[in-house]
Amino acid sequence: MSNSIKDIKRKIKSIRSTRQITKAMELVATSKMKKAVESAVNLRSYGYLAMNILLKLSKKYQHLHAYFQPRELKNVLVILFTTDKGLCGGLNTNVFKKFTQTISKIQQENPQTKLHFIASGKKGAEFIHRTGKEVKMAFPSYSNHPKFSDIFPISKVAVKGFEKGDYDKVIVIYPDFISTLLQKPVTKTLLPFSPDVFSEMMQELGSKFTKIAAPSEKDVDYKLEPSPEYIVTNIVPQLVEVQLFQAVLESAASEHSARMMAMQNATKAANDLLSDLVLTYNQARQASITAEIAEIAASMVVVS
Amino acid sequence: MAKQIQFKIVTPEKVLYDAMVEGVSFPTVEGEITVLAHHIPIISAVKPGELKIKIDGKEEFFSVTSGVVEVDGNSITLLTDAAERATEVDEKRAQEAITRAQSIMSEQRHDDEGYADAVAQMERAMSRIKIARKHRHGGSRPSFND
Repeated sequence: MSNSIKDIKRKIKSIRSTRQITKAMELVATSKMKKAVESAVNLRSYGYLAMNILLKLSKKYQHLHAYFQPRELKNVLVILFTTDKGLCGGLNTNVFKKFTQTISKIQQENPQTKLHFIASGKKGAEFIHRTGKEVKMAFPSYSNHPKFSDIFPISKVAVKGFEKGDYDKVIVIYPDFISTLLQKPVTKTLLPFSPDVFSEMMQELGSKFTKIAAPSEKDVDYKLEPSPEYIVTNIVPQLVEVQLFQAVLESAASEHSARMMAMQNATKAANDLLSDLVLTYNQARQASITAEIAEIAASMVVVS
Repeated sequence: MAKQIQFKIVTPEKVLYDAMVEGVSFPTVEGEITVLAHHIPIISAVKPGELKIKIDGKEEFFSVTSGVVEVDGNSITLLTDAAERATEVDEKRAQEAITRAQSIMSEQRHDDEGYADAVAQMERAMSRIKIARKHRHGGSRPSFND
């Protein structure tokens, strides 16, 4: 009897300390989440309006820039955004599912296509390795205070590679932040940019996109200053970088909110478990006391 | 009452300004342009400098860095890396940025990209200082159409 009481006591102690950790992680994630969500949401207006300008340019000046011209898909670069650390619920698993779906779709449509992978986030790199593919480059996940300059190494590889013809298409896969309770993995084509890509993206992002940058129905004939060439070569790369940065911020916001929810659930589960165990412990303790008293009473009877 | 047009300044951090205005002037790579209501649709590259908003007969000044502006007849949208109200420009910080840029320029003489970055940074900081000085004491304000 006393053995099982000891066991229960040990269990209670270990669950208490686990609860302390999950509670602390929850608090940390909550404070990080607030910041990450704020910057992700703030960049949205910029990012979506930039998309809108890209769309308008791509409709009219497709011939001017390689960024707007779809090519035959020989090499596709896939940039996968995940987290560095675990304990964030099903976030990474969902992104991996999307990843697998996306690449099997590309391979079905173009069996000749060669795929290249860049991972931002340790978990993504590990996953790509596990599936027997080669990770061309692995970056950390920029989930703590992402800066615009953080994405330069990735964007350089992607944009320069596309310009040189190393890649014919660049896609990004990242968990899009919808709310603290919901993160949806999305696939977005970064390059080349075309009206088809835009409508595809509208479908993925849905109403939160149209709220900020509803595409105008009528085609406006824009004058480009100083020249269409100048705008396209100087502005477009920057707008593409913003799209990439948006992906980083959305993943950061998703990571912290997913972790917060996961830790909240873990803390709650620990609480449930604890109250069960404390009840069992008290029952066991009481039973042993009762047994002891009964023994003493019995021995008293014998002695007298 | 003059005709008004919707004007938005959007930076990666936030939507800094969103209101109906009478007119906006900003520096582009080809010189300053002023946009009033019913301006023809235009997309243009914006250069670091001073942006002037005319609203209710008054003028407001902003310091902007490079970006892109889109005018579609009913609205003006300015996407820029950074912008701030002229009265809120921190001159000391801008001065520090210049010193930093100078040291980078002397160190990275052989790194084309680093050098170009530093030059761009310096240009931005200098334009911010110029704007800050101009508006520091609510000094003489040039008229809208000068």
